[in-house]
Amino acid sequence: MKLLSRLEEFLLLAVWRLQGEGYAVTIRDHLQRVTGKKWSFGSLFVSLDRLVKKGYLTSSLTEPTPERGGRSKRIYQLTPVGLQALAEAKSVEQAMWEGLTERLPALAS
Amino acid sequence: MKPATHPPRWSAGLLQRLFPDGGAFTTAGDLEEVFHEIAAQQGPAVARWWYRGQVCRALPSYLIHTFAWHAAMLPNYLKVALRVLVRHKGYSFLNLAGLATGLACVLMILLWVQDEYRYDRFHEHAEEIYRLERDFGRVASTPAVAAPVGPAIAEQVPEVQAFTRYTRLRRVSLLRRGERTFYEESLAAVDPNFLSMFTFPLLQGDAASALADPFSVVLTEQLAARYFGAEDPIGQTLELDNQHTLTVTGVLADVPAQSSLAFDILVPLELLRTLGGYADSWRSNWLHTYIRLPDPADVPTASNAITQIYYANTGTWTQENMKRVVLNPLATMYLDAYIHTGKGFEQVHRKYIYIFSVLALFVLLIAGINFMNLSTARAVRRAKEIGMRKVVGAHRLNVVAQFLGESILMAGLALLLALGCLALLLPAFNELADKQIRWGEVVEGMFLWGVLGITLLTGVLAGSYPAFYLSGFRPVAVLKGRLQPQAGRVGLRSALVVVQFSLSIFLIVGMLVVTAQLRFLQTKNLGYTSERVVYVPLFQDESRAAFGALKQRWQDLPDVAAVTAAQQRPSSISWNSSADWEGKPATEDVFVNHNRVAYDYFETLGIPIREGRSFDPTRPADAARNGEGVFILNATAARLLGKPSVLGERFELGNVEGTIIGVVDDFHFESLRKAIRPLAVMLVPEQARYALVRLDNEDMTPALEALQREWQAVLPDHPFKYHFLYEDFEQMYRTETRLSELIQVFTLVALFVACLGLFGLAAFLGEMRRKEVAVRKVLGASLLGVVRLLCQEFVWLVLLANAVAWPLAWYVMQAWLATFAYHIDLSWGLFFGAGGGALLIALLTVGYQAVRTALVNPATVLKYE
Repeated sequence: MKLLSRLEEFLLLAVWRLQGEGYAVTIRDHLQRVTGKKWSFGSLFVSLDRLVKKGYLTSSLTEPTPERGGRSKRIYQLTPVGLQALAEAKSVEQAMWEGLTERLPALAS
Repeated sequence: MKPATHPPRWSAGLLQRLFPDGGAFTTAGDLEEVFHEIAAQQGPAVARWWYRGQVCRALPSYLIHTFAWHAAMLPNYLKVALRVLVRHKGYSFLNLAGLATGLACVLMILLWVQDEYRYDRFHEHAEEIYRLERDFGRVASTPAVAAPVGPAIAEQVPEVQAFTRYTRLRRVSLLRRGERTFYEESLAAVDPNFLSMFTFPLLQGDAASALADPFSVVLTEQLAARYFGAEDPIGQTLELDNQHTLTVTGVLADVPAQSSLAFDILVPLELLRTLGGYADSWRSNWLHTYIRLPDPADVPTASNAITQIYYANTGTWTQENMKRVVLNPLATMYLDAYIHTGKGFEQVHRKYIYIFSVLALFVLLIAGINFMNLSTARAVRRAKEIGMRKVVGAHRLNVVAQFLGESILMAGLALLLALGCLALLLPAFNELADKQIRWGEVVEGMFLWGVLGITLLTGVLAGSYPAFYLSGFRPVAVLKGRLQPQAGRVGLRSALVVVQFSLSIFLIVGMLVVTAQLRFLQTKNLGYTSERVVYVPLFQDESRAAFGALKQRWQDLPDVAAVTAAQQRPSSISWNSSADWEGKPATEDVFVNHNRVAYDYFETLGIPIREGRSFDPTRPADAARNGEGVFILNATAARLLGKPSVLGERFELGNVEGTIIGVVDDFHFESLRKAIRPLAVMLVPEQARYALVRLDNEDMTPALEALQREWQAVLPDHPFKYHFLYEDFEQMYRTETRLSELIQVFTLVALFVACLGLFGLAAFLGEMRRKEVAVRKVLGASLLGVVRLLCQEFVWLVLLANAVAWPLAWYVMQAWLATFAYHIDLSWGLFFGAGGGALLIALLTVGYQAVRTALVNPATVLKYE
């Protein structure tokens, strides 16, 4: 299994955290809140599409809502495969950090 | 949350176009949601700009994608188009040949129109030069003005930068250099600054001083070669009329064909003071004056000022009759020129452009219809392809674009063919249209763009209907094979065939009428003998004086039947003067044409004397001298007097007065466009300008040689020149002859193209009905029956086309014939001939295909069932 990229990992985490409320706008908001950076829709869609294609996410359309000009939302859900990929990413990261965390300067705290 | 505002409409609309699903996609919703959020936080203006930014960022990738996909399909479209072209060679050929013929016609007409348009524009200052014309409130204004006008303008109208005067010499001059002697008709007398105002480049000599000396002469290159061969002409001399010596001071490049000012020889206006013919009076209007006016805004002021100058210097007659002096721009002088055609003045050049253009468009239209008909009729062949394309995701517009592209491709190929045809046919076309168009003009910048534009337009127009029709197929129906072979919109196709054949029949009727009228003009009995009559011009005073001696010698020659002379040729007696007689209504002016002749005039031309007598050599009082003489009238003039017998009546014509001694039968002394007018003939042998000789023998060569021998014995210094009287008629009806040739060519081409289309259509429909025909034959239908079945549809269409074309043709041709005082009557025969001819050709075309279809052995068709 290929390793997740940083953005992919963030997206999977965001979708997981949003628990069925994750669609482009909320995901972007969450990312901005946590990272403090601007994210463009374009970059998110490309990665989200790729994740769906890999089977880490599923997407479904909701009923159209009036505040969106009568358009549907595309809601993303984490799949078991996606969860497994996240777990693997987590363990790889931990392995990489093994014994190094302590050496981090005060910045960590 | 109730949205307080909308995303920018224009951007939102663009976004909808960009998304293939028309904006139902969730992204549009996401953008709109964020838009509202930003609008709430930072205000609607920021939100709008943000939204626009988002849309703009989406553009590049959209464009790349669409172009990439179109480009990906292009090779496929091309491949399919070429395969279809090659696979159905016959149809492709019919289509291409038709379109190429149509385009070739349009190309020729465009060349012709361009050539006409370029008239007089080669002068460097063409846009600033105007010709003075006096406007009497008639259709055409008169370009002849008085000689002192130019100098007066230079003095009193500051806006005018320069003037130059120009007059063609009406006389024929005799130029001699040693043994080389020629009559020259193309002399013009001009002011010395003529060569600096107009752009007629001098190959040798100095433009500023060439015409300064009154006895200088400037020749064109061609003429210089005629007199001087390879020698240097500058400084050499020429004898004019064996009396004056002129020095050659310049050699001009030959005057371009597109010049209204046409001459071979330029002499200074001052020379006319010596030759005679120069009038300094304000009342003698005899030359043309051109002025140079740099600012077009000054035209009205200058025109008014010149009018006032004219009024101030001429009498009350001018003030009462002349409306004003107009400035006619040189650049448009030719196209706007009014030319006398017998039915009043007409803008002939413009009219010809219209006639030519309409004919060319007819042919192109017929060719375009071929293309549409064949494409739609054969749609079934392509139905599966279209169905397949749609199934794998082509939009209707993709299919439209594909077929439009195909028809533009065909038009492009046709253009190449047309250019090839043009290269071959250009000399023939030049002859037909009386032009000198070079091949180089075809590929010059602007023209080529125009041609490409027309080709594109033809491709789009001819391809549009098939494209929209074919792209409308429903894939399911097509792929299941439910599309009927006949489903190609029979109604419209039939209508188009009717249009084609209406145009063709219209042209055939036109051709027949014009040809018949022309033959009528050429063979009508003119009331005098024109066969075997030659005329010998007596242009110089010496030759006129020698006529008596010549007549003596000629009369005694064996093959000469009669000799006479006249001031004007019998084919065009146009001089007229106001006439007076006892009992004439005092209130109106009556103008009577007149001719001055020598003895034996009526006898030579075989015009019967109706009453009275002819001129008699034994009565010296017959000759008109010092304002007295006798008259012989034609029957029309005699009727004009309104008296039972006019013999012995007093008659006054111009400044001659005398009695009427005879009346002759009417004869046609002008073009047959005009009704015979009153004519009075006077006896003034010394003013005769043409000797008329009637010969006896069918073989005229020995007689002509004898005439020449005698001439040279009497006039050794003058070349002998003769013309046959019938040449005059050829000249007179040149317009009609050219129209007739032109319409013949276009009719044949149009008919040819229409038949190409019909041939293709019939072949295709025959093929479609092969099974039907086979079954009919198996069930016992005869060959003839089958052929009739296949032909009858087309026969009806052609008959219908007749019904459309006849009234139209009748109306147009009636109007044309009305321009002739003497003309044929439109007969049913002409129409039946045209209709029958078209029907016959259509039947042959369709019949050939029908027989081919009907002859197929039913077994070969039905065995696959």
